[in-house]
Amino acid sequence: MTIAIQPTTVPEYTLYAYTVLFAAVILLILISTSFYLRLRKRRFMIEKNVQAFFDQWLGQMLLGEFSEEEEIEIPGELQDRRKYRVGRQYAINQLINTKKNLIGLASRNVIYLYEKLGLKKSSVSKFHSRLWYKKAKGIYELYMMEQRDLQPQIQPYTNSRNEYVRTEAQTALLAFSGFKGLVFLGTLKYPMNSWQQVKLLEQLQPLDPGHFEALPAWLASANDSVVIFALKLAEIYQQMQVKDEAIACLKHDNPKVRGQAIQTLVRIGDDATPAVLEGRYLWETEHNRTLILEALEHIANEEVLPFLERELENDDPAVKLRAARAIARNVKGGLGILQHKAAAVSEPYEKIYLHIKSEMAR
Amino acid sequence: MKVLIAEDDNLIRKTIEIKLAKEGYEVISCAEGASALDSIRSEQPDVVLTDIMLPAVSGLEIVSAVKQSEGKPIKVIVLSTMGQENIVEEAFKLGADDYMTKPFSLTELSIRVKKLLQSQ
Repeated sequence: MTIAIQPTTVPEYTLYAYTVLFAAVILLILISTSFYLRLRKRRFMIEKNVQAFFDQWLGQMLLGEFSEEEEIEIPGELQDRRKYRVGRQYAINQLINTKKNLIGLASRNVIYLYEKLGLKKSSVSKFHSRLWYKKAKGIYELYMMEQRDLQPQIQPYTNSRNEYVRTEAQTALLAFSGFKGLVFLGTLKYPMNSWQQVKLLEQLQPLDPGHFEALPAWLASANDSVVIFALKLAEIYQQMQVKDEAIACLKHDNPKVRGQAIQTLVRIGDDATPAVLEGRYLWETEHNRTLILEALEHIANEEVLPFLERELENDDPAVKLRAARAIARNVKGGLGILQHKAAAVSEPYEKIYLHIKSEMAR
Repeated sequence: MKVLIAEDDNLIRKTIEIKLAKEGYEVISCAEGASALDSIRSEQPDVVLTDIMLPAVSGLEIVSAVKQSEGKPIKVIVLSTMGQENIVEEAFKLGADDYMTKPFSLTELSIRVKKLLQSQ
């Protein structure tokens, strides 16, 4: 059934009112779109103008020899005025990009120019902003430009509620102080995600390892991600002195911590470690059991041979294979044990024996 | 001696250009792979410095084109970034003569250009 609207039911003045309202809305949309496009065009033109002279000017400046006292003439487009804000941001971005791509004199000159052009003021102002994305960008610019004097002010933000601000502040601390910058781990309340951990470890990689006095404290942290990160540090930098703390982590409530402890103990454990890992096997999750067997592939010894022989009988073929690998690689006459097993029970042990044999021949 | 730079980052390209010009080289610079290939054909440089990642035509294609051309022998230095080791290996297979990983030193770059030219 269709309902016909009678034109006479809508008063004429209402129709006019709606038409005017609709036209006004359309007009408003057109005006704001045009305003936005003009703004973008203006921004683009300023950036293009700055780019045109800046690349040439900066290219010359980056190869110059400057003395500390030397004053440089700041080009008009980079003056510290509101209308040149876009140009100044372009200059900061370009300097950061150059710092990432060049080392030596040019890289040193980047910092010199950043300071002499007064661009630090712009970064500091972003850092003091209440908007998280500006604050994070400000911190990024400051550590990229090696502004170490700002470290005391940035340090509290390693514990910021905002993840982006927090991760930039943590990166900044390492950029300023290397291994000493890890001091924030002692007070960190929020979790460090895996990506941030990878980034920080990569950042530390080219540096000379420092002292790890605080490692036991980090391994006992109430923040699980700090414990995991500390275990990774102990593993990478082979911090044998925290072996007992790493073993204690095998009984941690969080399975991820226990999993990392298993991996760490491969690098920092001793002759007793295989038996310790065997002792935890029954209590572990499926994933961590796999990690234990993978660890034993590297560090098993005669002491855990009965356990590995038991696991050879496991229903899961992947477990059988890992146990066989651990025996063959680490136990004296291990390959012979597998050969003997294959002779007694051909399926599947013959395949496993031949597979491991070919692996070891590679 | 002519050096051609194929690098899409304006400032890096300009800085290399100024550095090499100061060393007395005639420098041709291109922001894109396609224009670099055209300039290589028309200008016949002695050395080509090319970034691996270029818009449209990649650095590898430039290496391949240079090494397959029948004109005078042209030396090629590839500019790569960390983590591009496989691509650098590919560039060497195609005939690249040297490579530098970003961040690099301009002084080292100019020494390598000089050594390559001496070895010709």
